[in-house]
Amino acid sequence: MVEVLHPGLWSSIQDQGRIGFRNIGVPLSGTMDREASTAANRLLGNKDTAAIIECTFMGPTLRFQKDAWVAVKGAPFPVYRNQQEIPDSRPIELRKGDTFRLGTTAVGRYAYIAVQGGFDTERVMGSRSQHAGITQHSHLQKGTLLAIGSDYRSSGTTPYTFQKSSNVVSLPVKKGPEYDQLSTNQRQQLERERFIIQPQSNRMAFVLEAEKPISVPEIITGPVQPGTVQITPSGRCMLLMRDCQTTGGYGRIFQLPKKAIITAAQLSVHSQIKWEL
Amino acid sequence: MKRVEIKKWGAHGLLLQWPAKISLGIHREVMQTVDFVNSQFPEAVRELVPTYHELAIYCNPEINLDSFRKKLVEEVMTLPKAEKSGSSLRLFTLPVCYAETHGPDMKGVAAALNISVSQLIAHHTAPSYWVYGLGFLPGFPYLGGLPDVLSLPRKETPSAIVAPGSVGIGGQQTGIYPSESPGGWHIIGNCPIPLFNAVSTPPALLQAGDRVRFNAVSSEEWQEITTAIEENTFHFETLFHHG
Repeated sequence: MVEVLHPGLWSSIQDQGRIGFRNIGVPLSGTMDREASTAANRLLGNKDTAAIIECTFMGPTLRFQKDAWVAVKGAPFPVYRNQQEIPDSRPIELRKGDTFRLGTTAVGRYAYIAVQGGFDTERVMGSRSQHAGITQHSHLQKGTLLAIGSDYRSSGTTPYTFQKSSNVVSLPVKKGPEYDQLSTNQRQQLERERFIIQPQSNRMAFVLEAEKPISVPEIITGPVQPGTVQITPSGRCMLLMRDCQTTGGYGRIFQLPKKAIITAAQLSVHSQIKWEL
Repeated sequence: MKRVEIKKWGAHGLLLQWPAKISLGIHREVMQTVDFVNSQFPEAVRELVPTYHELAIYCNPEINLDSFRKKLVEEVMTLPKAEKSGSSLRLFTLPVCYAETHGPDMKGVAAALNISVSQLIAHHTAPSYWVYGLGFLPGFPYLGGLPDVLSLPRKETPSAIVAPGSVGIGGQQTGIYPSESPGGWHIIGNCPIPLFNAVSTPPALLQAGDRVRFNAVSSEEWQEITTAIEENTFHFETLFHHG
């Protein structure tokens, strides 16, 4: 077992998500930076489906009640074994009784702690991804005990390097269902403006604000998915993420390709985004 | 079905769009397409999300999206319009307690609509509502068919917490909150039947295409049903019939 001594800011168990239930309003969930989580799992010979801890800004403190191998990938969080900072480029061997902690990252947003065999936590509707109203808790709690599973399969390793983003990040986008309803003025403004990531951004959506917001009327509720960019009537921009609702009533102006969603996921508060159509 | 457009949307998604209207006729075509795609292309499709006039098809990542889209364009456009949607013809009768303890906004709503509380209950329990889709929260049904006399704008400031089971009205819609959540609708009652339970099979009580009627119950009956559900002695099959 692995004991959660301190949960960190918002740490949760995630896997590849809950597939097959969006028709009944159940979010997809799963890791926000799929490249980093996959690289961490593969470094240990885990299956890509193995459950992993996703850390947000400040990681958890864990005590291992048995020997284990772990790997860390994602944003550059400092890693500590028994209070001592250690390198994280290779698998890390932990002994029974060791504490393991991820500190606070100065850049990026998410890092992943994989354990060899994966975390064997409750599986609800085909997934271990934690979500309010579906799993018992929405994220890790102090005192939680996490079992270690046996999800091995040597699938080789995947090279991974965290890409530090520049101050202004250009994200490629495609036209969303309501893009054609924008006026020429609005389109030009969307291309010119820089959108700033707000602190209330989370796994559901990144909230973005621009200096000169444009406003888009509400629509008859329709499907939305991770990577959908909505604009509210008050001019707020919502970039939907893995835990997003399955339907929404705000105009869907853009859709991000897969890779751009991952790039966006690692952008910290106050990062600036430019849309590139 | 000549009035549908099919676009690629996201890495593995297609979005089918009918004219942007809330209409039973359009929604029947949406649901007919759900049945068609489910029966013809079970391998290609992972999830189908129907809403009022749209249908999202999230495909298996291994298929070629362009050729699947092309195939759908040919087959869905030429699909003859069915008289009635085939698979789901369930009519649910859900108990709702409209007492003030369960419907904190009831008095205010009746006053705003200039009708009595008993008239409001009579209007709200009269129609059978159509489930246009599920979304917003797991198991949350978008219900259409609210009588015009009950239409009023949503709350200006949404309530921070709405209790599970709360029955609300807002705009032209009515619905039930399956779980605790913030909400902008006026709460006029409470339904003791859980609409979503992650560990049940199936997890959601309702599905798109179902019809729902409300049946007014007293606080005592509400409590009896709640107790029966807690004790696992409630018979869920008594809630609906086919046809």
